[in-house]
Amino acid sequence: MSYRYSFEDLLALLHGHAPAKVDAVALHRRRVEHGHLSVGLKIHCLGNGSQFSTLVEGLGGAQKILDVNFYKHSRASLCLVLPPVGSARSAILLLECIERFIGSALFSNPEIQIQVCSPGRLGARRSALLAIGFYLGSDTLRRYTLGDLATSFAENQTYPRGRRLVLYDAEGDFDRNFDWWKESGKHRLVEPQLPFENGRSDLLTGSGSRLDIQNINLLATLLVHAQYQGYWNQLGMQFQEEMEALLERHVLNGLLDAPWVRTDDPESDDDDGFFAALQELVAYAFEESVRIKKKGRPVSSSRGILQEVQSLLQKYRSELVGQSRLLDQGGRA
Amino acid sequence: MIRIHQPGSEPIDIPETIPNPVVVPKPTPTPTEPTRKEPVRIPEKVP
Repeated sequence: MSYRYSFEDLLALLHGHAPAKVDAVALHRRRVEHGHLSVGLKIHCLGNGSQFSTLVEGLGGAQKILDVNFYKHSRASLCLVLPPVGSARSAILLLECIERFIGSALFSNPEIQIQVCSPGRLGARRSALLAIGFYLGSDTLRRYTLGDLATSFAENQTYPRGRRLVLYDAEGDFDRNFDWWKESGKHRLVEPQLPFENGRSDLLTGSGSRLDIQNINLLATLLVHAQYQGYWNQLGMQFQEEMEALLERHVLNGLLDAPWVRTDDPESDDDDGFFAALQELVAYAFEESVRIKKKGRPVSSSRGILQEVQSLLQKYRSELVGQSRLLDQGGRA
Repeated sequence: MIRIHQPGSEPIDIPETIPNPVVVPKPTPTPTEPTRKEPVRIPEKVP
């Protein structure tokens, strides 16, 4: 994540337009909530980017803060990399501060693509679960073309990322200074640093929302903890099993075998294989939405996939926060 | 908007995005900016 400006300079610039929110971000920037992962953001602007010009100039100019970053959406005029923060809440606040400053919307704006970055590279199967969970849990159902997912690193020689929803980092700068909840015997150990020297799993949300950021943060936390034996390892494994069972009930479990992320495995170099799986998921979700509109909200006895994913996310969000609060009260979660 | 049109048929509009029908929009509590205070008006003294 290359950004060549200081977080303090960014906040100072934004302060005049949104003082209360900037103060809240400044106060809680490194605060990790309930052992969730930290959150990084990239803003790809598909328009001419003129709304960002004052901000970019204020941070040192395009040459200093934009041109240094070779990575961007292939149709974007600019990609603004934001410093990582400790929580989804701070990430949303930071975007709201920028919205105030630039005077135009960042959330749910078709000209703005939000990339949510989570520390830790997920394996192929968990990357698939991250992407599918994001897609079905979002407040917007999207149709894609493969071109919507093209970035400047799609066919990069050193770091080929393909055209995917989930993208690994390109071994750039990495800020490890966020708390990591580790399991030590029966206790929680809070490490002051993330256990990865490098490595991220990013998700290209397209036109993203606040809920998308919260959902991706929850999904990534569960899946990364399951993969790297964090404190939420058990909860993450349980989530993975439930999500896989859910897909199996809808005869969509075959989707997990598609290459949702481009890894070092040469077999994952298959944009078409990924896109076919994505198309199947999209078609299923749109069909389900038509069914709901015709019949009204699904009743609990015949819940559709969209409702099931909402319930699953809600269940794990409550479970994680509930267990964390128990820990704060001195009990073992 | 994707437009599918076959000869002899009405064009069908297929939206690229639709709201997820099961998501109920929930306002996120965030710090609100203080509203600017109106300057205190001092009534002019009536001579």
